[in-house]
Amino acid sequence: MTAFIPERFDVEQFEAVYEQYFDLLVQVAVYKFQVPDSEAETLAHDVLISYLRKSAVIVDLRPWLIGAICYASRHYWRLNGRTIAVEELDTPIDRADPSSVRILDSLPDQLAAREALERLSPRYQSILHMRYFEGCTVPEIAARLGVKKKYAQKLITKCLRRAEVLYSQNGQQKRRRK
Amino acid sequence: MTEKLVPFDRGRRRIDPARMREFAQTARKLQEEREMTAEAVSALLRETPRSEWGKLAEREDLRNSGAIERLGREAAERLERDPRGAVVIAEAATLLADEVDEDAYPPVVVAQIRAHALKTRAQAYRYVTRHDDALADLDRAEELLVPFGTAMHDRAIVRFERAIVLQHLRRFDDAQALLSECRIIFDDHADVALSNKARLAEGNLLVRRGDHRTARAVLLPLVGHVDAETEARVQTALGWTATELDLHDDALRHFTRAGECFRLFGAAIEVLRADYGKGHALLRRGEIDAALMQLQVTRDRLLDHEMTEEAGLCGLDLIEARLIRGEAAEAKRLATRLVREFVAASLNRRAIAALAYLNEAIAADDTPTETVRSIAAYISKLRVDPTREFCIN
Repeated sequence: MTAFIPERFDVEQFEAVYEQYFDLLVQVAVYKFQVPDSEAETLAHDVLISYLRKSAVIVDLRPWLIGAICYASRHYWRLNGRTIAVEELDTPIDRADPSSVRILDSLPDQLAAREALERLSPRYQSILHMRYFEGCTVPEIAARLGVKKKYAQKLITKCLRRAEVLYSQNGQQKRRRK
Repeated sequence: MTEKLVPFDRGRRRIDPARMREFAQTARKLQEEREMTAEAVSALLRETPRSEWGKLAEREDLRNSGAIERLGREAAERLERDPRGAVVIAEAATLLADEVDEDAYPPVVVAQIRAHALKTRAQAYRYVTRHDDALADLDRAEELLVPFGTAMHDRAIVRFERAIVLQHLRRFDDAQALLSECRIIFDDHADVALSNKARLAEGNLLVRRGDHRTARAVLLPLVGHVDAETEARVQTALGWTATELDLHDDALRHFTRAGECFRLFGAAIEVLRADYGKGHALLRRGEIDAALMQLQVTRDRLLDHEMTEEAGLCGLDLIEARLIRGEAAEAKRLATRLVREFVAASLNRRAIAALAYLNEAIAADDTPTETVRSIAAYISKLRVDPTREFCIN
């Protein structure tokens, strides 16, 4: 393990970290990994507790915490029996992807856009979620998906294009119905 | 369809006050222990006779995260200069960690404290070649961490140490797989320092396995992204991979850079090693005069530091340079001197036999430079494989 360098941290600083990141960590567990809400809160709490002993050696806190919650969520599902990776589930998830909020802003027809986003595969929703909701950079997304940066960028573009196509199809169908 | 949408409100989640209290209490406790014990533990080690260090394990006032953490650091700092002392301190820290009250901290913190102590002890055992004991400690450390999904970073650190131990046991495949796995986990946690360390270890492992092309691909991304000491080591490793791949211009550049970095923090011995690499690269580039000058100066300094083996390798390059220049008599004199130096230093008998063979071959005026290179390569390999058989193709 890396050497722990004692540094002066006020407890208030730790509390501020807790307040700043707790919600984000829960969201990652819930939306990316579909961990039940109450369990997600426990995982987020444990991640923050685990961080305490390493506080002096963690340079980049946010990605460290996000990395830890991702591993914790996968571990949760390993213990609780799910064997299929979240991204590979065929059935659409019930919960909408909050990242859609930002995309909707850029689209004139909000209703059609929502429908379009809901018709995206869970994997595509998850990628857009990471990019536009969690605010992940392309390298961060690449690391989480275990792919190269260039491919991650391609995937994001592909997701947006797919959303656009679905959006246009919705519009055309509605016009035909009229 | 839109009714499925759940309105997202970033500020809606309320933090459970009991959880916040537990977090703040743990933070305060760890912080206070760290501050209270930091100097106290170091002073205790200074004041306690070395033979009594083991008894520190009986002190109740040291059964806390801060003291155990500090003992771990004290052990880690002694690994190079006093590995046996490091073992005693790490053993005391592990015993103290075992005695930590289960309720003193949240369960994951207790697991971290114990796993960290075990990992440090494993590291100390590795330094005194107690590899089986080291692996047993690492097994236990991982067992402690397995129930906690949030401790994956800690597990990767334990596995990293396991990879190093496996390398010493020449289980290269297992070690390489573990190092790759660790690197991914460190990257996922944006832990650049440990990721680079894992990459460097992987590169060095590939060099030892003779896979110089892959080693080069693994090591090159580190250049310019690590601290000066690591940069120097990376450049040295890259220098040797370039040499093996016949990229002698690159090799010269890497060794020159390595020497500059090592000079920055006064690592005299490492500077000499880089200088030897530089002389070797000059020889391979066909710059015989420059190589002779560089190698002669380096060899003399290596002998000043009683580094007979390295001086011998440097001498073999000098012999090759002399033979290229048609100075067989000088080459023969030097070959005889190398045998004497190796015998006087009681070095590996196989190396001495190889040098004696070279001596005879030069005396018979029948020594192509390839033979000198083969013997140099053989002596280099003996350093990692001391029972390797000598054969000339």
